[in-house]
Amino acid sequence: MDIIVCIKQSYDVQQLKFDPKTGEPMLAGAPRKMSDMDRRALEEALKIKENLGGTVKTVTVGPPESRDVVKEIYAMGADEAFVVTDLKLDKADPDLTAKIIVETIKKIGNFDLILAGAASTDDYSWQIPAKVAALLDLPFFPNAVSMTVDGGLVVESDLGDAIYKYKAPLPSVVSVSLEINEPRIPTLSAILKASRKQFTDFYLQDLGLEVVTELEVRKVVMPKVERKNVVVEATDPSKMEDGIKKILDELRKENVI
Amino acid sequence: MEEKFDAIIVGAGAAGLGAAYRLAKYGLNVVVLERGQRIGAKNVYGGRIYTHVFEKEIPEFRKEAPVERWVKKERLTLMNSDDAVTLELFSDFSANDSFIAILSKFNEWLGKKVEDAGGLVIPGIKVDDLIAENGTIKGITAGDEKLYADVVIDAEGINPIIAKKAGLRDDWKPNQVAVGVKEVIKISENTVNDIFQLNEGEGVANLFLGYPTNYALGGGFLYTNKDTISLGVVIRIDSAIAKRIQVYDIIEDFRNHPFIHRILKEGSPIEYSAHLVPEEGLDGIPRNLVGDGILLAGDVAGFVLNRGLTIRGVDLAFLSGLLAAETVKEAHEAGDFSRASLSSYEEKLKNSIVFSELEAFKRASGLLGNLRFYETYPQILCEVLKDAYTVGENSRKIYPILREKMKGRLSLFTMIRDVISAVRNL
Repeated sequence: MDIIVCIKQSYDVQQLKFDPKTGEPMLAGAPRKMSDMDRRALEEALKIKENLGGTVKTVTVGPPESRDVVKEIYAMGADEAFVVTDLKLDKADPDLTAKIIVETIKKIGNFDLILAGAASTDDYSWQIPAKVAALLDLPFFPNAVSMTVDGGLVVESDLGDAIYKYKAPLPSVVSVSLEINEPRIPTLSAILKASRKQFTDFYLQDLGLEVVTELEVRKVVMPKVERKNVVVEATDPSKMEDGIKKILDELRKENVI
Repeated sequence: MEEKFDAIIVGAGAAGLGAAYRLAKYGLNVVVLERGQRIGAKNVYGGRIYTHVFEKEIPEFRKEAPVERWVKKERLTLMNSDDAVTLELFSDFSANDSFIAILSKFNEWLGKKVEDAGGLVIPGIKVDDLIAENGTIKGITAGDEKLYADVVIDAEGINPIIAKKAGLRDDWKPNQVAVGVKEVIKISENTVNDIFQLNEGEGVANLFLGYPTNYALGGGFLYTNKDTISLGVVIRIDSAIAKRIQVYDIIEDFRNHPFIHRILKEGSPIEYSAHLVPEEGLDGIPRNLVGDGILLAGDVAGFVLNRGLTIRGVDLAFLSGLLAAETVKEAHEAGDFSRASLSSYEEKLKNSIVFSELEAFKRASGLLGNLRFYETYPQILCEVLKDAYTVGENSRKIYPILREKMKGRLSLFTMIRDVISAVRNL
């Protein structure tokens, strides 16, 4: 089975620092990593390939730093990586990203299945896989918690109210959730083998596209968490009762108890 | 695994990356294994880096390196709990300049240079042990995996796991290492320029003695990054133990000192880290820096120069890496990686500034162990100057004030001896 996996090189949100004054993320030079759910999509594709044979190819779209993800893609075991980069793509909206992914997939050629993480670690828009499916006019199965392919594709999708089990046709687009698998950690020998492997670098002009974003992001800020900073002094053991009463009063005032 | 490397380098710090860069340029097949998840993930550094070796080795250094600011002002501040006395050198340092960098970003850049030169740098791999055959190092193990090479360059840093296994060095003793804690505090680029009276791209390197370490052996530091401040305290471990100092408490006190607080009141900490620093100078260097199939470079070999006014390590580490690479290239050409063949590394080091500088300040480490420089002098100087600048009904001259402050704390003879010793040895 020939599988294409969409993989984003996201900001490593856990490492991200925020300007304490403005609440804005300090993105310049911030570390990136393979998006968590995309990593699981790749793991799922590799498992299918190990069972049934075939190929696993990947598509990555983003700013030039996105190329760094290729090493890990190859170390995990993918056959061929395709990367589309442009400085302006850091600000791409989901429509544009999906369009670029689809044009790249058309260049890659034949496939039986497209996998992607349900949402990226940083932007978390949940839109890309559905838009890719729509543009390719393929069936879409969102948020898979499990899937099997031997004897036809079966996807279990978590749609919030329940888990739906679908018999899916091929080709389809499936987006995967975090709980679908535990991705492998590449071995040293796999990393070494992957380290000099070449990948295909596309630019937007290769795909006949340009950066036009219709979505304007006004601001990204950290939610403000104001601490109450209520201190109850209770250094005198004989007056402990008073202290406890004060704490209880505070908690009642906040409707916590 | 079938692939055998010309050299395996343990640790992607300045030493390891220096070695890898040079070896890759020689066309040798080299891999750097780094324990952190990214290059620089484990780095903690104030920090100021001296330019000379980097500029000589990497032609595009000035254009590309992630420099925060170029040092334009050097400051030494002596502090007691309320006051501070600062000496400032404002100068054109361009002939022998230094820059302030965030070391993890700097090493990330060095890592890119290594990869551009054809070397491999692999983060996220912890080297557990060496593979030895008949006493000769043949490679490393990481988890269940083995990796072979003609030679291993151990640039693992301050924690000598591999060097101990190779029998090349022991654990550090408490009087040989200091613990450093550092905070990065976010303020704006303009605020940094305004507060420190700097033009764009210019920076301040400020060392502190006295109160920041609670008068223990060590010092405080403040470096201006582009739009943040690195603030920290370095305390020698034995002194911290003797004075029962918790380093994580002490940086709070330092940050809240009125002299620092007024600088940083606008900002808030965005990063906190801690690390060990070798401080023993020449005496902290292991007797053997090479074994059969292995060389030591950087912090693990103790190549850090503490001369009181400045601490240098990154440039010396990088240079030691370059010299290790030269040695490995010669050994490669001779096809001999025995201790005898690799021992030319020790000669190269001795003829380089790594040793000549450490040699020149050999007696500094003894002198810097003199507690009076951290305890008595900062306090007396602050008190004397404060009184001297105070106008009252019975204003006095400096000398009687000095004698009064010295009473019971310091004899004139001791002071003169310390001053002479400091001037001679630092």
